[in-house]
Amino acid sequence: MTLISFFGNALTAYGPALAVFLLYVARNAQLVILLMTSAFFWLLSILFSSVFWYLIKPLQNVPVGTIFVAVTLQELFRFLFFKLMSKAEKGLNIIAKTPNSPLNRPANAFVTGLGFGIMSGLTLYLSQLAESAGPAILACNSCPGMDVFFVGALTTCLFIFLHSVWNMVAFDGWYRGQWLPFGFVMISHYAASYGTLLTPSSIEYGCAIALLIDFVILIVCTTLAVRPILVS
Amino acid sequence: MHGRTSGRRPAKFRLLDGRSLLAALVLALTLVGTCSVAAQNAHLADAMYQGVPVSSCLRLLHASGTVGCQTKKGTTGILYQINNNNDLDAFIKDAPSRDYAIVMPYLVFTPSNVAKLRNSKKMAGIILVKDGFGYPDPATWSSDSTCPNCQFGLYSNQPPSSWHQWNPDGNSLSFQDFDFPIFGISQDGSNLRSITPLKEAVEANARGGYVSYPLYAVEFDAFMWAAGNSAVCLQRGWCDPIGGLSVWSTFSKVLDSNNTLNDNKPLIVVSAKIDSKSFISDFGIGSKLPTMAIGARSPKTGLVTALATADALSQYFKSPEAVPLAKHILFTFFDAETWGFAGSQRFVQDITRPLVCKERGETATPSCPLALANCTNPCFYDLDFTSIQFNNIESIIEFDSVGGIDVPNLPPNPTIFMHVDEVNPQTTALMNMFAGTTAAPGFNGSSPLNVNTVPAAGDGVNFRLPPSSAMAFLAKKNIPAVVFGDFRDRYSNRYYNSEFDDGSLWDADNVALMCALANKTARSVFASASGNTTVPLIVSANCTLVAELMNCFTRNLTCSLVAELYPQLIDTLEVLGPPLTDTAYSGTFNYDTNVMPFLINRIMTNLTATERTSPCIRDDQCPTDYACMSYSKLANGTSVGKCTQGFARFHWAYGTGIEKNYQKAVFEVVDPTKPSWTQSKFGTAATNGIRMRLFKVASTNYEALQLGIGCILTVLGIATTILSQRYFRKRFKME
Repeated sequence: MTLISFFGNALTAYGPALAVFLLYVARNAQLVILLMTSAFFWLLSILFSSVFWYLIKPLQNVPVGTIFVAVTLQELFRFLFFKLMSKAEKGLNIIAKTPNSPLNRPANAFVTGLGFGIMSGLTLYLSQLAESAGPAILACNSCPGMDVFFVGALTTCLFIFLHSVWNMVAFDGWYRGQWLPFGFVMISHYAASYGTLLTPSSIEYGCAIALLIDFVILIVCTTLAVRPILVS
Repeated sequence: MHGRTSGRRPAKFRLLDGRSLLAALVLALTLVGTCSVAAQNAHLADAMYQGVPVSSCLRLLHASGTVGCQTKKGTTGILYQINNNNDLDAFIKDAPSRDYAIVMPYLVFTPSNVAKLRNSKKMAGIILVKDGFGYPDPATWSSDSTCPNCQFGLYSNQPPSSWHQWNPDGNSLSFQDFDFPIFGISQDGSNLRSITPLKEAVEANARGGYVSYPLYAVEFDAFMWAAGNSAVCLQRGWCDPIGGLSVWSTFSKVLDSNNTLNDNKPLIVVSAKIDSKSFISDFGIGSKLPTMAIGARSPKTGLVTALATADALSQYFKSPEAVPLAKHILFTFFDAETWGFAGSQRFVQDITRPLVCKERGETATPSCPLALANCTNPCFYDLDFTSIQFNNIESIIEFDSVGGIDVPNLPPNPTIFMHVDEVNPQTTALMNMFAGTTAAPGFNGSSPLNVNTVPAAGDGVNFRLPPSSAMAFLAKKNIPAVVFGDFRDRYSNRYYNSEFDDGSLWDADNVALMCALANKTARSVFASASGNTTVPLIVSANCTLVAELMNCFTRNLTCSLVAELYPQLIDTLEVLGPPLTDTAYSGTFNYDTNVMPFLINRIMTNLTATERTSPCIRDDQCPTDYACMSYSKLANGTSVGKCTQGFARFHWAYGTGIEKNYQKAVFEVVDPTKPSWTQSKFGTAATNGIRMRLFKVASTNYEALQLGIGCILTVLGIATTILSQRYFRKRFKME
């Protein structure tokens, strides 16, 4: 019985990302390497976050503070990764299949964002997914009809793609020398992350509000990310 | 085919490169994932699963099969409460088709109801509730057979239809083979650790009509390895013999160089049994689980009366005018009697067989894990039993259930029945020693009694011996034997060998009766053993001791008697907390003793004490063959005793169908016709292998919804990826 939950949650959380990975990224070795590198950068960000968390004792029981540190560091590493990638861009373009395509930059930004997202999705959700194979559910405090793991699966799915489009928006801005898009990314990342605090809260339909916030941000950011490509 | 394959080889190699890259990526991510999973799961599991302390029906094996329960791994069920037969019918008819853990009182737990539940295919397991849910005790409940152990008794060679039904209400559920788990919970004093969470959960389920999800469910975990029968199971190492330690003792000199037990004087055997059982087995003190098997009426009333008889006789032996009597008095307390008279049959087997000690050694061996054993093959701690001369046993006096609990006319005129195998001049003479009416004072304000001791046989009817230890002796030789019982033709104990035979039902009247019987027996035995009809007044039963023994054995081991004999047990219990009574289930045989045989051994050592020397705090401060007892508390709180030399011995008690193979150092079934009960080992060693976890589960619809959404999202992902790639290719005219 519970294997059904496990597969349901697994497909919900990782299914779409896996589809993109297998049908798009995996066909191109260069994209795979980019994805792995960005995934590594996300891991570095979370490593530093955990060092902060570990060293600053008062932080340990305050999710608001933990989220602030983690989001800030993730965005810092997004910038650092952009710096690294813009250095490597020439080389990347040389070995690319289509060196002069205007799609290279947004595609690379998308794939590295996907790397960020996949790694964050795996790190933050995999343990819950494993536990969802057991017979028990953990009822969601704000939505008694739902269980924490399924809400987590939906959140994970949204965050993977949020990271992808955030990367596209931020990188596009930086390529133009603008920091405003990155500022928007940063604010929406804070909003999405703090929104997830509604899920374990006792606010009625808190989990639905949290998912809605994530979804709206995803739509807005996707629009922001795709528009420059189409108008170019 | 070949040409095509080889033609595509280069392309395939390129593809393989992509795949290995992919594989490496997946592997790396999985590794990262696994690490974080391990770290977080303990925390998550704590939030989701709540452990509930439970006892379980065990998987037991005999010579030709298995009985008891089996739990498949990962058995879970939604909690469902069934309070009566109407609830049961409603469950079978109306409950939606899922797996349920049925919470029910023993009253509903009958063979026909179990069969109904089993056939409903909706039951994952059963949780029996004794105390704590407010269920009334059943009027009668015994999971033993109608003639307990008769297939191993004195009349086993006669057709079963001729066996007298001593336990007519027995439903034999203990001998059924269940392919599902049956757990048991009970309130232990004021301890509600198992009751409260389970009660709240099942009540929450009932409030929602068992359809409003999430519902509470439990996981049963009590996997036991065994399959087949005792012989196969012992061979595979999946079983241990059921057994324990019997105790025997005597006032006659055995220890010094002029051992007098083999001086050809006649012997009078005074006997009682130690153990009983219950449908749900528990593991006694230290297990933190309520004690299910207490056996207050059977065997504890008999056991306590036998000990009180020994105490009355000891008053003479410790007086200055004591002289050796014309006959020896041998006290035997048999363990594992519930399992085919294992204790008595093995004892009789060992004292009737010449002992050939093949190996001696100071150190423990794989087949005899005892330091300082007197013989390591066969394995015996001491060989004192060899001085018991079986042929000199003149008579056997045994106490069955004698408390008079639930019998009519208590007070004022209780009747104790004397059961014999055959009514003949020898047994009549033996019965005449005890027959008649004795006036006894009340105890602690209870009214005085006139105890009638009468033969059970009468009006030309003799039901012969009820299942008893004396049978083992009689199977070898026709010795006059009398078994005392507070019943004539059926057990007065409505809860024979079950959970309900607990310490809650006896009172001062029962103490007065047992005390009167002990007094009568002691004085009659003394008269017979001394050959003198005038019995000294000091041979008199101590009613306070009877009450104290009953209290210690059936209600609370932290009693003054234990404080005097072995205060270390009280210290241990103060640390461990409840349960405070030990289980009457003998458990598995491992050359080690349970609390009950240990205490009986110490009580008898104390009663037969011939020397009390230097002060001590622990046994190991005393010389060999001395034990530290008669403790008293000093002002600073330490208990100090005296090194005491008395005489009490343990004797192995496991089925005579099982013997040790000393070459292989394993137990084997050597004779399937003799008792060969074994208990399966557990799949996991933690918490005795028994665990129950309480948690919430989702409905199948909800799970289907999860899977549906997962599939839809994945398909959406696939479609979006393909379509957008196609769109961008077209838009930017690539490839």
